[in-house]
Amino acid sequence: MSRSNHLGEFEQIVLLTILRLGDDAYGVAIRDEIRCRTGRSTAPGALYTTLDRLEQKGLVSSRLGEPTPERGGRAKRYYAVSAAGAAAVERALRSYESLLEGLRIFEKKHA
Amino acid sequence: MPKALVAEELLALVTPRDRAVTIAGDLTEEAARRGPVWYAGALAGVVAAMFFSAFGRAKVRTALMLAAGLAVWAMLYVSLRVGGLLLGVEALAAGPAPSSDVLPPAMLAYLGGTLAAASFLTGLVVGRAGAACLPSPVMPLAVFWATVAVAAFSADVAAGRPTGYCTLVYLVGVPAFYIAPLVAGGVCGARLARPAGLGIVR
Repeated sequence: MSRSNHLGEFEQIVLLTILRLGDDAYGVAIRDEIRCRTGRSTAPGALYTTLDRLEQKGLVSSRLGEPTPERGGRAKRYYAVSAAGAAAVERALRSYESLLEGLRIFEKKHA
Repeated sequence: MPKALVAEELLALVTPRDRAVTIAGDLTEEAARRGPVWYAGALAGVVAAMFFSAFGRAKVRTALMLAAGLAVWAMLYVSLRVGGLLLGVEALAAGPAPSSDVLPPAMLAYLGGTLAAASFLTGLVVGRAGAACLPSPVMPLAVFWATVAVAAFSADVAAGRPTGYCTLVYLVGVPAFYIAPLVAGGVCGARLARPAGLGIVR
């Protein structure tokens, strides 16, 4: 596995959030969902640079929506997780599961 | 100029224009419930994050842009001062040293005006010449001036001698005479380059 396929913690959160939101995953909704699900306030700059990086890695794709008046006539950019992105999340979650399994054994031994 | 348009122009200095438009739209939508202070902070944060993200990917190129920007700025500033000398207004800056740290208003206006003009023209020149580059070549210089102001202010504070006047110069003078005109010039330069048919793809 190349180094660029390793996901950072925030990259995993963003990918999972996009998967949760489905067709409604754009900047504001992603930040709101992260705040709602994790209680973590995300700086807009951190989110947009992460989305750019994920798109450059080919883990997400984006498309433009329709302009809306509450956005000053500006379009939304909707994000979707690619097959490579879904595989990368799955790999990361399997790693976590493996690490958690080890912790459960540790707890049983010292209970 | 509506604030969303200002945001869009500033964001277009660090990210492709189609992305700048959508990010400006996101910030506008969220500012409706969070207010103008949040909007200004979020905009500054996104521009800084995008700039440093690009800097991390191309450190040498950014350093070269900074060197070029400083050279252009110095050349323009010296030219403006020479122009002032030829017009006979240089005496405003070369008068007797003031008895206090505070500069006389005429001297301040002359020096501030030449600094702001040099910064605006630098932004115009490098912004137009580098309209195809991301981040815009004005950004390394803007970040450099901001860093100099913060470093000078911090040094004053550390030395225990921050005067109100010096604080005003670092925290208001540098943004007003260096950074704002430079960025405004960069935005104008990039806008001038677009309809000129230079084949720019941002």
